[in-house]
Amino acid sequence: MKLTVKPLKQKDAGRGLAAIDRASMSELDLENGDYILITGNGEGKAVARVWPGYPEDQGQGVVRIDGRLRQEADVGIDDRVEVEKADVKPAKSVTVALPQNLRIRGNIGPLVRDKLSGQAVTSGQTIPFSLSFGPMAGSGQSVPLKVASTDPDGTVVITDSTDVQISEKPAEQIKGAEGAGSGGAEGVPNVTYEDIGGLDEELDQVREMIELPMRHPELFKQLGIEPPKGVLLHGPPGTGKTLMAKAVANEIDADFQTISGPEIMSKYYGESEEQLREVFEEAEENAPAIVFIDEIDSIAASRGEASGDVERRVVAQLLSLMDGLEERGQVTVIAATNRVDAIDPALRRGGRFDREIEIGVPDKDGRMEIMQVHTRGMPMSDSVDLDEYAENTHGFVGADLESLAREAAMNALRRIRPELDLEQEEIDAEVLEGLKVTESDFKEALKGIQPSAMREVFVEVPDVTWEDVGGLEGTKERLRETIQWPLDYPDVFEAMDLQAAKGVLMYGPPGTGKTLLAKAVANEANSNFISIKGPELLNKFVGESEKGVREVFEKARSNAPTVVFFDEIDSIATERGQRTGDSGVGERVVSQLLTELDGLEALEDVVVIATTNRPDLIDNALLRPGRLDRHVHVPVPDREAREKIFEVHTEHKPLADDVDLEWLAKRTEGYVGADVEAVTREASMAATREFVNSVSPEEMTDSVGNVRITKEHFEHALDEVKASVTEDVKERYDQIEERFGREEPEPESELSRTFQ
Amino acid sequence: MNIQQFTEHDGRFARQYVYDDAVVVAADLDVTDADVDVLGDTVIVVRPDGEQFELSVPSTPTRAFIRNGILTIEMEAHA
Repeated sequence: MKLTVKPLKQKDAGRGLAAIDRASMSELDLENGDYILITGNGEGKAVARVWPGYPEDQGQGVVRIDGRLRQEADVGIDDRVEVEKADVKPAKSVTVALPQNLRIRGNIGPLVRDKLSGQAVTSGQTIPFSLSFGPMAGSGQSVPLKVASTDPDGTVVITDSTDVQISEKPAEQIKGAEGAGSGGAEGVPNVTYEDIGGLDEELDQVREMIELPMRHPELFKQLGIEPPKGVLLHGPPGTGKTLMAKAVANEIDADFQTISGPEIMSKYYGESEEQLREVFEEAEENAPAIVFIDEIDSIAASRGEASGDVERRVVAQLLSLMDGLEERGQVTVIAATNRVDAIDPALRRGGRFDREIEIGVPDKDGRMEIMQVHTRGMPMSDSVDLDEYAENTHGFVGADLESLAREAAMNALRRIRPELDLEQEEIDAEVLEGLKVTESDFKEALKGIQPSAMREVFVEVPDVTWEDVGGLEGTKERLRETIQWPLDYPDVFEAMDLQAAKGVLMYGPPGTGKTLLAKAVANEANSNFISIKGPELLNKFVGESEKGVREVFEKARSNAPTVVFFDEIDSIATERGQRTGDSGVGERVVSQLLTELDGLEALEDVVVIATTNRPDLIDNALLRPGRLDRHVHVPVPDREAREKIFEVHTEHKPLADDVDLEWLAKRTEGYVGADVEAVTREASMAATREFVNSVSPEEMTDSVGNVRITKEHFEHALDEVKASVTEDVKERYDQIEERFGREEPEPESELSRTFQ
Repeated sequence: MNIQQFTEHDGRFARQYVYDDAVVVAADLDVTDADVDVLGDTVIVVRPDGEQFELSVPSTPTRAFIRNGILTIEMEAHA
């Protein structure tokens, strides 16, 4: 029966499974676990075990197999293949050969058997075997095992009773039976579509542009159009542009030529261009072929800006090669760059690069798929929850996730290193078997890796939670509403047709906890956090200060969800039209800020938090709805709030029984959070002073447990630390609050009518 | 063990598919031979070496079998 080949999901790859939809399964009289023989149009044949089909394939006549099986069967995606039930004998014995560079002491036969148990093998076939990682991973994550011979002959299945022998000869010297598993042509990279996570849509576009014209040029002839000639992939570094080009080349089995910019440059006149021509000529001879130009911006920079003669001629040569008088035939060009605007505009037209595909930073599902790809061959302990890591790795690109997986594995390796004897030539098979990557390995690794797009503005997210903020309940609730809710309940916001707020302005007297609140937000919001200190944006060159603002928002957009935090925003966003002393830089920065917050380009999942002591100085336009539309007054704490703040600050301090927080709160009228902190610090300092002066150094460690901070200490501290907010200041802020309207929510207003 | 725990345990390879008319749980167990018994909402897999494990499923399976290392449990579709 003929079925259409489709790719397996990333996580299901690498097990020799073929997911067949249920209708076809019953027609073929197959059950899950049966062996089937997949025959392509050519010589290729592959044996797989039946796996239940994906629900979305119901009745489509689809067989989903991974890249290895596709290669064995010599078929591509969307090809029709013949599928029939296979009669497979259990193997009595199998001899496998290891690659030459792999040195393991001890008998790994049983290990191999356990891993391969249930898989069908043919002699001459190469099986990717996920033995381990780290030093032995000569070629990626798995070791290519070669099946040297089987008993009985033909396709056999490895069972628990199969005797697995390790061949004396290394795999490189064994000439397996040609045919099954002979792999692709020389020079074609060994990457399959399953190795790409989270780029399904982009991959589809690339395939449509490249695979279709190569496989079925007659389609285009019928339509009377020229097939597309080139695709330009662009996006931030590490998102998988090169990988995608490799996968396409591998899957369609075309000749693959790469051009890396700097390599073709030569010191002789005209030779750089000649090298370009040579690559294209060779590709033409081996058509169908793909020419892949990595980092095309290095050789095809805009001609107007190119400084040298050579650069200009190389660009011109490339232009004429791509769309010259001579027919290019079945040669497709894929180029990758992360600076798409630096490329000569003449290249970016139809007939040269017909389509530009943006490869963006992956979202959560994409990250999950990528993690699955990179941990596929990794022995992991039960506790590792990849979902969790996909969730809190905002802004990570594929390369970052790969290094996360690698670092985690290296941590696991570090753990067993004491057991390793590096002097020995070979490593104990038992040690290898015990190697497992645990949850803590991943946690450690995550600490050391920053998303690459954020490196420049990355800040360590502070370890402050909502609990560390005493009092301020209304303010906390308001912040949570603005920042966490849109991320946590996007459905509700959509149903209510509610736009998330763009920004929050927190104002209040110094020391009331504005910055602390922002820290708590950064920690709890589960977003990337960019902190901007106003004055650092200013630059001595004209236009550079505004550029700084632009760049901050650019970064925030590409790493969304992001919280952008401006501390002391009054320093860069003062009222316009007031001063002229700085030749208008301040005003232009404000204007830039205004357009970024509410400009033509939408600001999605980016929230701005700003704090200030002087809201009256800030430009009015910034405070209108749509920009910093929420104004939250962080007031001087009242008695109840002060008590809570005392609670937070004395939580880990040894207090004597006579210390009453309520009494302290009563005594500290007009104190703000910072004052309260100073009081507790001063009190514990007084206690410490007393202790150190009265006890001899030898006894210190024994008696330190008995020290208590008493009421007297606090009374002393209260004398030292005075309230920093006077009645005048308080009044002024109350007036300002009046002016902004009452933004602070009324404490526990009655339930609104929404629920009635 | 329920299906979730089972999947996470030891990095076992198990999937649940929801079709229009049935729910299928499939798992690749890396064994070639084992017996499967169904007891109410529990599926018991016994390996030849005597090792066994139980797996509780959301509803009574209509069919459960193991073939070439792939365990299949079929259930009625969720109402």
